[in-house]
Amino acid sequence: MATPTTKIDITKLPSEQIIQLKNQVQEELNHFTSSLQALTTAQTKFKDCIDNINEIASSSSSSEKKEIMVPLTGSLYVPGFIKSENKFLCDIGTGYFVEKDSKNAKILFQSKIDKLTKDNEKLTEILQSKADTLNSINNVLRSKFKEQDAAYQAKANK
Amino acid sequence: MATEREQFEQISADYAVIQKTMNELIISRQKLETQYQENKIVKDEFDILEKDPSSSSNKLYKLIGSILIPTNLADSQNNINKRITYIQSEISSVELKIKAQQAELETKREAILRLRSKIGSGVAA
Repeated sequence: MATPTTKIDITKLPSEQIIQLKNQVQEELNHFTSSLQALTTAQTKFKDCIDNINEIASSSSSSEKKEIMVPLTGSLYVPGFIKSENKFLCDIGTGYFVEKDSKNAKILFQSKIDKLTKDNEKLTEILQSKADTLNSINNVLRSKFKEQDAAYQAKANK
Repeated sequence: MATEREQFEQISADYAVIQKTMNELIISRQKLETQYQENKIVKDEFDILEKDPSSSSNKLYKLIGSILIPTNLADSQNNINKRITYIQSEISSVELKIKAQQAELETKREAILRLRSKIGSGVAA
């Protein structure tokens, strides 16, 4: 932890230190796993946004106005009509909203999705290497315990 | 011998306390990072809006409570830039604190190891 640049042969460390290291890596692994989950959730949310835009914009050719149910609360809805099919208010974060037409709104969400996909790939890579590290630590730990066990047995038999 | 053991326990307790504050600092550092990233995304979006003249007619709103208030781009950009500088200064101050705590943690750890080997050798002898 203190010297990340120098490689340390963990087989030479005392087992309690290896356990500490293992816990640390495990914690990092958990952290990254939950981050990955959050990323995937966000991605689906943005994809839903694009689907919704497509759904609403596709009706713009027909003169008939689209009827929707507008939620007032989670369990109370009133019927309504979509007046303009080409105006969308997009949440761009920290409470700011921009009015965009369907094309630009889709660009916005698509760029968000692309960014998340990139992050997703990076995170998956990190996750994989962390999992590998954890695996090798576990292996070292196991062989270490076996050694200790054998030494203990040998002592007891003497 | 007994005093060494007492000392050992004292330092261990100190160590745990420092570790706790350290964890709290790291959590606040993470929160700041999230805020920083979010504000940066908003700033990028504002920059896109600024460059695109066709979108200057686009209305911009700010969500206050549960009401959308119309606002203009220049004000919002100002606002977001201020927020980003503020968050950056917060991040560096938290990072300084983390460094200090880390140094303290390290000295305590060494003290613990020293005492432990002392006690250990005392038992062996």
